[in-house]
Formats: sequence, C-alpha cells, structure tokens
Amino acid sequence: MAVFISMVAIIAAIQGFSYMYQRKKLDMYMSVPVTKGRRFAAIYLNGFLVYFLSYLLNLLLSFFVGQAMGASTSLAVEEAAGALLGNTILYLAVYHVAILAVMLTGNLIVTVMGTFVLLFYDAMLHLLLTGYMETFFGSFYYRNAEKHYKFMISPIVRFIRFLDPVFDSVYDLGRTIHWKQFWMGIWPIVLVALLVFGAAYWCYTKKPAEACGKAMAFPKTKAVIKILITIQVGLGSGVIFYALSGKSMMFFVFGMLAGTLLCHGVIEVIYDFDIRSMKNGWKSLLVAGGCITVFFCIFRFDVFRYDAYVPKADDVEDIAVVFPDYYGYYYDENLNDIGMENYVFENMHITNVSPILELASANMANWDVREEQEDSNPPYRYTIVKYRLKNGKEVYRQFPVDYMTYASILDTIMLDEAYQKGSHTIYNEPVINLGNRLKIYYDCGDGGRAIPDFTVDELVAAYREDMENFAFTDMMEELVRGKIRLECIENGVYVTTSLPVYPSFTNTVALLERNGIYKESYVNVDELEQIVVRNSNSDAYEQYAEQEAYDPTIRSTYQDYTVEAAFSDRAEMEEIVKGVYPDSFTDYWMNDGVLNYDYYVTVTYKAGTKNGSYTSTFFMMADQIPDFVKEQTLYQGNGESSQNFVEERAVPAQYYTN
Amino acid sequence: MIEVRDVSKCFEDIQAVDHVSINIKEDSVFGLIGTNGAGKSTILRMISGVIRPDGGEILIDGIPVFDHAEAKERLFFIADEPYFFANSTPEDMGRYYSSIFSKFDLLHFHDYLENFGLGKRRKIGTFSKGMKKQLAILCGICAKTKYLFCDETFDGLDPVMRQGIKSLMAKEMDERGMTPIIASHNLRELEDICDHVGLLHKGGVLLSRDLEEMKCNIQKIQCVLEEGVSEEAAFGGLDVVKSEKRGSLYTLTVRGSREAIINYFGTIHTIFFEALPLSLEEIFISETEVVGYDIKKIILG
Repeated sequence: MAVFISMVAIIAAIQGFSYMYQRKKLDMYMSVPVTKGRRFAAIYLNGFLVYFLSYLLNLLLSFFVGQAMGASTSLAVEEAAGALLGNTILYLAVYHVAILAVMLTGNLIVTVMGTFVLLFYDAMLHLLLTGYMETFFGSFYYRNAEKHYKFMISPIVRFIRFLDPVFDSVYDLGRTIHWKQFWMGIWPIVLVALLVFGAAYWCYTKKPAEACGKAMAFPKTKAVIKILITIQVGLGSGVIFYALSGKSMMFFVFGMLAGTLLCHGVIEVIYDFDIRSMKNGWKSLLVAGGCITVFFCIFRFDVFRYDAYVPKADDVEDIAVVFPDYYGYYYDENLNDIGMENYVFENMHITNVSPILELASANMANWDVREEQEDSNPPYRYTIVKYRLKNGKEVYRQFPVDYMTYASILDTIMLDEAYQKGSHTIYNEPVINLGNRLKIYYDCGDGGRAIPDFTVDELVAAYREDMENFAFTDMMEELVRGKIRLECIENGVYVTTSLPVYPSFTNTVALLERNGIYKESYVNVDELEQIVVRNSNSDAYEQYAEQEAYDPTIRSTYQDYTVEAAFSDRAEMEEIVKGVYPDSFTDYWMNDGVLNYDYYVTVTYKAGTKNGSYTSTFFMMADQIPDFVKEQTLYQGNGESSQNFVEERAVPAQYYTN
Repeated sequence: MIEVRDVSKCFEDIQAVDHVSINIKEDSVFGLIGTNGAGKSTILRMISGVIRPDGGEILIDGIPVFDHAEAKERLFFIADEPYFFANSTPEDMGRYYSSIFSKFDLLHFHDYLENFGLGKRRKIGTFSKGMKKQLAILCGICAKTKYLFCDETFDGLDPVMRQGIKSLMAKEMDERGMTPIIASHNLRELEDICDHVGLLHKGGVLLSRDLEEMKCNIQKIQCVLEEGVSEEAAFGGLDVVKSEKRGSLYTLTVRGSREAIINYFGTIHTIFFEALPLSLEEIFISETEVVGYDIKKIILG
C-alpha cells in the first residue's frame, strides 16, 4: 500500500509541475497573469485532491456497502480513519519530495531518478553502513544498526517500518489502532513533509525558467549531488563484488573502483546529455574517490577498534545478555509474541556487570583467530550483549564463546536474579498474570497432553524456586524430562508458553508426581507397537559426495544413503527406548555431542494406548545406540542409492513419509 | 508603455541579451528584427515575464513584469511554438483563457473560430501548424490585452491567412488601441505592418527607430542626367548612401527629406528624375551601413 501511494504521489507531483520540462508549456504558464504562489497552490492542491478525494470517495462507498452488509463496525471505522490519516501523511511527504525533485531538476528522467535518490538516499546509506559493518566487523550485531532508523528521514522507509506494524496488529489481533504508537511513528514523517515542502517551495520560487530541459536546475548543486551519489554507488559496488566473488578483497577494491568511475561518468553524461562528457569532472571524481577510500579504510582496518570494544564497568548502567540457544515464546503487555531477543533486551537489567564484561573481554580479543577456529571443536556459540551506558547510549555486540570453558562465569550470570527475570518465560508477566485462564498441559516427551490439577500460582511458585538454583552447569549435565505447556486464547489471541522440566526441579517434579504424571522415561515399552529407526549415514554421504565429482554414477543426496529399519521385538524396543530423546525437546540447551542426529526414531503406539494410532519422534543419544540398530541401519552400498537394497532387507514400505 | 532598461541575460556562458534598452510606445506596431540567435525571443520572453533578466528592469505601464500578475494582465504572449493542453479543443482553450484573462471575449472568440474555419470542438492535436498559430493569435486577440507579443507568429501562415490576421490586428488596434510587438527574422514580413522597428544583433540593439521617421529621412531616386553633366557636379550636394548606374540610369539612395531632395533635383540638369518608395529592407541597408554593419549579412544572410 505504501509503495502504491508513493507511486501515485510521485506521478501527481511530476504531472502537476511538468510544465517546467517543456519550453512551450513554460512560456504559456509563466506569461499568463497568475502569480507564482497562486500557480503553485493551484497545482499543489490539484495533485493532493486527486488522491484525497478518490480515497475518501472509495472509503465512503466501501462503508455504505459495508453498512448494507452489516460489516461496518466501530473498529473498522477507527482503523479506516487511521489508515486514511497515515496514508495521507505518507502521500504528502512523498508528494513533497517529488516536488522538490522537480524543482531541483529540469528533465523528466532526471526528476524520476532524483526522486528516488531523495527518497532512498538515507535508507541506502543505512544499508551500506550495515553491509560494511557486517563485512568487516565480526562483533557487529544487526540491532546496532537498527538505531539508524531513528534518524532516517525517508518517509516510505519510516512508514513501512513504524506504521505498517500498527495496522498489522489490527489485522492480526482484531484490536483497535494503538494511537500512541501511531503518533510516535508518524510525527517524524510529518516533520519531514513540512521541511521538504518548505524546501520545495523555496526552490520553486528560485528555479529559473531557463533550467527547462536541463538536467539540474541549480548549477551549484550539480557537483554536490554527483559526489554524494558516486560515493554511495562506489561503496555499494565494492560490497556487491565482494559478495559475488566469494568474499575476495581484490574484487571488493575492483568493484569500488569500477562503480565509482562508471557512476561518475554516467552522471556527467546525464548532466550534459552528451556521451563525451563521461570523462569530465575530474575534481569531483577525486573528492568522491577520496571519501570512498577513507570510508573503506575505516572499516577495513577497524580504525575505531569496533571489534575490540568492551565498555568500562564504571560506564555501564546495566547489561542484557542473550545466549541464543535458549528458546521460548515471549509476550509483551499487548500479548504480542515479540520473540526472545526483543523480550530480553527490553526486560533484562543485570547490574552485576563484571562477569559479563569479563566474558566479553576474554572473547572479543583475537577475533580473527577465533573466527578461524569456529568450525573446530569445541564449537563456539554466539553470545549477544546489550550495554546500557550511563550516558544513555545503547550498544550491542556479539562474540563467540566456548561455553564449557567459561562455564563458571555462565553459572554466575545465569544465577543472577536479573538474568532469570529477564530471560525465563516463567517471569513473563503478561502471560503469568493470565492466572487460571491458562490451561496447563504436561508432555513427557511422547507428545501426550496430560492435564494436571495444580494451579498456575502453584506452578509459578514451584518453578521459580527451582530456577533460582539452576545454573548453566546443571543445564549441561541434565536432560529435559518433560515440558509443561501453558496456553489459552485471550481476546481471540492464542497465547502459549512452555517450561522445560529438569530432574533437579524438585518442587515442580513434586507437583507433577502428585498428579502421577511425572515419568522417568520418555516412552513406555508396554504401549509400543513398533519402532522405526532411520539412519541418514552422514559419513557415507560425505564420503560419496566427494567422489561424485569424479564418478557420475554416484548419487549424492542424503536420502540416497539413508537406511531404515523397523523393530517390533520387545527386547530390542526396550534397548532402543533407553537411548531416545524427544525431538520436541531439542529446542532446549544441551551439550554438543549428546545426541546423534543421524538416527531419527519414530515410535508407533498400540491402538488404544494413545487414543488410537499415534506416533512420536525422537533422536538417539550418541552413547546409547544399541549395536544391532547401528548394524541394521548402516549404509553398505558403494555409492548407489540405498533404496536399491533396503527393499531386499524387507524394511517397511513407509519409507520417508515426512 | 513598455520600458526595457539596460536589460541583460546570460545562458551559462552565452550572452543572449546584452544591455538592451528599448521603449515601446502604445498604439503602434513594434517590430523586433534580428537573425536567429539575435536575442528576439529572449527579449520577448523577458518582457512577458517568463524569464527574469540578470540585470536591468522591464516595466509594463510602470509595473515590473516578472511575477506581477497585474502587469501580465496587460499582455498576451504567443510563443514561436504555442502550447495547448493535451487533448484540448479550441473551446477548452477559450474557457481556460477566459478564466485567466478577465476581459477575454468568448463571444468574439467563437465568432473568429467560425470565420477562420477552426472547429471549436475539434482536438487541437489534429490541427496543422498554421492552424495552431491562427488559434494562438485568436486567443491572444480575444484576451483583449493591451499588448500582444508575437514571436515569429506569421511564420507558417499562408499569405491569405497572414493578411487576414494582419487585418484583424489592425481592427483591434483601431477599436481598442492594441499594441502588437512582433518578433521576426524576416524584414519583408513586417514591412507593411510595423510602425517602429528595433533591430537586434548579437544580443544588442543595433537601432530602434520609427519607420515613418526613417522613411522620411531617406529617399530613393532614379534619374538620367543630361549629357555633359558629370556625376560629381550633379550629386555633389547630396548625402548619397548608395549609388548604382545601369546605362545612363542612376538609382540613388539619398539621405534627406523628400521635399528637399526633390527641390535639389529641380536645380540640376536631368532628363528625368523620380522619387521611388523604399522598402524596409532598403531602409535598413542604409541605416545599418551607417553604424558599420552589412545588413545583408545580418538580416538577409
């Protein structure tokens, strides 16, 4: 919608003031007894009313039809009024920018290009900055660039970023517009619209008639605009060539050089409408080239030590930290699912900053060395921190940490009350405050939904007490035994959150045991009909994938090396279930290497044990895979598809059902 | 009166108009003559308030013209390539101009359209170049402005239509004192209509004179001298601008009043003498030669 409205605004502006592009039109318009101001007002209003009256008329017609059909609600009226207001402000902002572009140029094609430059220059600059930071700074975290949006003046970008979500929530959640959010999002667009209008009118009064047909109306702006565009294109070309060449620094430099020269030449050609002008303007080329070089060097050589930044403890108000392996649903006060990162960065305020700064200091250094080691064992996991500084700034950084090496620091951090309140879903007040409107289910790993009889308050008290003593090392040593799910539908919105239950959660386990639903094992063999184990044989895949380049008869998809075996013998099933771990629990933290993801287990329950035919899926723990499973699911071919010989071994027909 | 005072205009590094000063009186036809690029259109566009001069000032009846609607209410500018709205008809243009010019005479406009055979509901886009020019002139005339600026307006009109338009202008001048200012590169085109002529060359005014005054001050004489009368003796007392001899027939362009020249020729021994009318071209040739220019190169190429 924003794009469509913007296109209409651009067309209206260009069409309205198009008399400035043709001398014969200009002669007619300028010689008639109409003052400049009156002419501007007439054309401006015409361009606005074309949009506004059509919009309003269609809206009214829609409401009449809606009324007749019984669909016009107060919510719809409020939403339509908000949309009309928001869209009209966007229209005016883009309309003014396009008028300014008309005033700065004297040719239709240049006006269109100028409009897009004016509309998106800062957005492109933001993309460039982000691209360079991502390319050159390993510790860059995208939220650090998010703050640029606050300063972005492009009305379209601002509208899409700040206002679309306001209306989206209306559609998604059936609520009225959040007017505060609406006004917060719209006022910068209003400001931009007013300022650009002033600039456009000023240029209109100053634009000479002889600019008609020329590329630029004001000769003094030519060099400035040329340099600004050339800088962006030059820097952007570098990043594009870098990405296309598989991260070659040589191509980066070549891209910048080629982009700079080409862009500068093309602008000169456009200015003069003469291909021979391509070589003109060496001074501006030097200035643009110099700026590009400085910009590139700042990032390439990390002149400002971005990747080494760790604030001093005295400068920090508090810190929020995210260990991205942790997972869950997090809701804001309007019960919008905002995701873990948003929730943590909003709600976590750790004032005992030393352990986090220590972790950051130890891991921000030697960035390059660590990057090289990332694929080796032990693997590094990215940790994201948000420093809230005493001067009001907010700084994000990410750095990879070998969690096991820094387990004691992680223990300290995770036992911090501020960390727990800011990261665990049991402290997610908007959900917990729903109280007994929440339904409680317990899943011990087999996908079942046992319904306990304890209250939400009881659960919250028990679970919080368990979490208080639950450190990182505990989490690494234990496996999730079950999952408590809280859910309800509130004002038409589905709200859900889940709480992992570890064996050391004595209070929670006691509650579950009181209901007789806590289980030590994930699967009860007595209920099983059959177990199918599918082994993807990744070693074989990797081995033969390498050979495929030399031998076209070799197949190289994972499926070709996967071997499946079915087990219905009770003894075999007993052996297997000892080593399974529920697929649905793998969202939670777990030490690397605990599970062998090659083995995918599907259990089928006997009829009547789980309300009919029912299956659930598991992975196998690496050190608990029975030998007979390994033997029966081992790929034994020589590069041919495993399907050719699994049939001979009479494996069940439901091969690859998912 | 239109006062152009020391006006200059530069387009990048090209001096289009260089310190031009002209006064255009009311109730006369002012011809602005010059080659392509002499600055005629630029001056007309400046006088019309389309472009702003770099220096000097232009007053229409004492009012600065640039961005002054009051001054522009007194003029109508017909550009060398008149513009009409896309897909418009003469009727549409009449309606538009009547909303802009308070004195626009729609009744006359429709009459003229009929007389000139221009369909009022026909799309202007289907008109020939000449028809568009006729329409532009009719719009200009019906706007009832005091001044009508025409830039190469007669270019592209057939002789009959040209005469028709000239008659129309003459009628408007008689009836309401309209003052046409006509720019052209063709001297012959303006010959029978202009009262005052300004000659432009390379952005400057070479001369600006009243045509009658010029005509009164220069005469064309054809004569045959009696045998034995020498050229020097016969024409020594005259201010001869140009002299040609074919056989015994002399054709002279002589400066001075008609009466004085005729009286002079009464005193010398001639077999025959006759005062002939001068064309505008001939007048210009003689006048510009005085200021050191070859008019043939300037105007006639």
